[in-house]
Amino acid sequence: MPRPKSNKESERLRRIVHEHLRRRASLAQSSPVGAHLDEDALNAFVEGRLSEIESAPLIKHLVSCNTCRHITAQLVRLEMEVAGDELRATLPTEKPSHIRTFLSELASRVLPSSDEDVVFAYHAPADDFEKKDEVKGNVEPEGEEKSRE
Amino acid sequence: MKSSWIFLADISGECSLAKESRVRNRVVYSIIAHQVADSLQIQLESAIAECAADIDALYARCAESAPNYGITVETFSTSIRTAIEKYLVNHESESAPTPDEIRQFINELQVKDLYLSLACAHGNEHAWWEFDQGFRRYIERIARHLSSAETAAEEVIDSVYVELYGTRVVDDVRQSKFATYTGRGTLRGWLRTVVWHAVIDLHRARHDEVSIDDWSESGGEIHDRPGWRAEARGGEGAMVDRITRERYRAATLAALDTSLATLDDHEKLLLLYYHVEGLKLREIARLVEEPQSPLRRWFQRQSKRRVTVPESRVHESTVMRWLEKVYGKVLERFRSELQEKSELSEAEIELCVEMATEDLAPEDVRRHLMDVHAES
Repeated sequence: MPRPKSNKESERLRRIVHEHLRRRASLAQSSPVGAHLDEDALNAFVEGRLSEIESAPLIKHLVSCNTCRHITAQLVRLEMEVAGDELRATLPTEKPSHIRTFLSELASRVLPSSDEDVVFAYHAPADDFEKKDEVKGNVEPEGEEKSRE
Repeated sequence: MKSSWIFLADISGECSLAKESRVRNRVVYSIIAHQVADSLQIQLESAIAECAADIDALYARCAESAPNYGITVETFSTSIRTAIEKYLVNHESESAPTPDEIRQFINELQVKDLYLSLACAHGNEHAWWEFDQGFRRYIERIARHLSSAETAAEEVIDSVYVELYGTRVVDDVRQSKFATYTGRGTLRGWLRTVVWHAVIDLHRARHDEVSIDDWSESGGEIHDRPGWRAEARGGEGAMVDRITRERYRAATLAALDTSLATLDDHEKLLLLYYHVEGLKLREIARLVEEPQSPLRRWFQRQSKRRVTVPESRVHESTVMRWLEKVYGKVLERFRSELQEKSELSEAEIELCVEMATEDLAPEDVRRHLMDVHAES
């Protein structure tokens, strides 16, 4: 199979082909091979259901007919967009993971929340370990919570 | 004088003879065409007759799952025959399908969807109830996705339902849109296309026949652009330069056209989807997602790499590889056209490519370049 000599040459050719095809397509008078495709044929093609024998005249038509080709392209986009919408609609609302819950609980104890007044005080590192143990044991020492308040 | 009369008589005699011969030929061609059509029809009838048991079995399955739809075996068989004639009979090559091809075809049909649509086309209430339950939400979702406003979506949904039911009556038969569904694709996909067309029709009705390209977001960008860049004129040297450049341009365009024309239709369509329709690689990959997709099978057949798992997903990189192969073919043909037909040297070919890159630059880039030239 022939290959472009270099990436630069390939890129240049890609750009030339791109502009050339677009210009030809925009200037071309519509003289499609055969009649326009109906909804049944358009959909069967977009869904990839046709055999090669069945699709040969359709592909010939799509090459020559800007309108039908454009519709098939739009249908592919539409299908993907709607599938994306459906997927988003069916996704469960994300629950925070255990580790995230643990970290946010930890952070809420260590860091002051934005709506609280900031209190500058001496912080003994040993307290962290104690608190970690408390979290592990799932125990909320009432006295300490109150004293922090 | 006499000789000229004889000459005129000869001509008129020849003309009447030629006319007679043309008429005779036309009659002969017409007889042959009828004979070919008859023979095609006979072949088709015989092939379908061989598959009658398969069609009956499909009908029995459908009738068992939906006994209250009121579809007769004749109605069902007629719709299958319509689908076969539409997709399997090639009138150009005048070939009828074999019984095996018909069997494979009918086994691939979305028979449940077809049976439901047939019953809806015949106005069966149970079928309409079933259809409404199964597809209304989907129709609404597509209509809302495509319409700019809620009222427009409602209008689209109404018009789709009217079209599906059919208000026009021809020879005492209501013309339901369902009658055009053959079961080759899914009913859902067919409805998506019907809704899409309904949106376009409503949009056209409101905006005095706006083209699809203008309506569509991505297609609207296709505008007629000016051709190759006009050269500044002046001086004998410039004129010679202009003539030379024109020669190169003509050769380049002809070589590009020829190299693109020699591609297979599958390759042309791939290029058109990518470059003209602006489909992204993942969108093309989606188009060929189905393992049976004709585009996919064609490109996989061209590939030296054996496809060990034909059902595997087509990735964007695969589509890119297909495109690269097509570019490779175009480039090779482009160069050989310039070398052999236009007899250009390597240096001249390089100049042609340079010119094509400059002259076919997108309009915004070109305008920018021209502005820079004007400023300097």
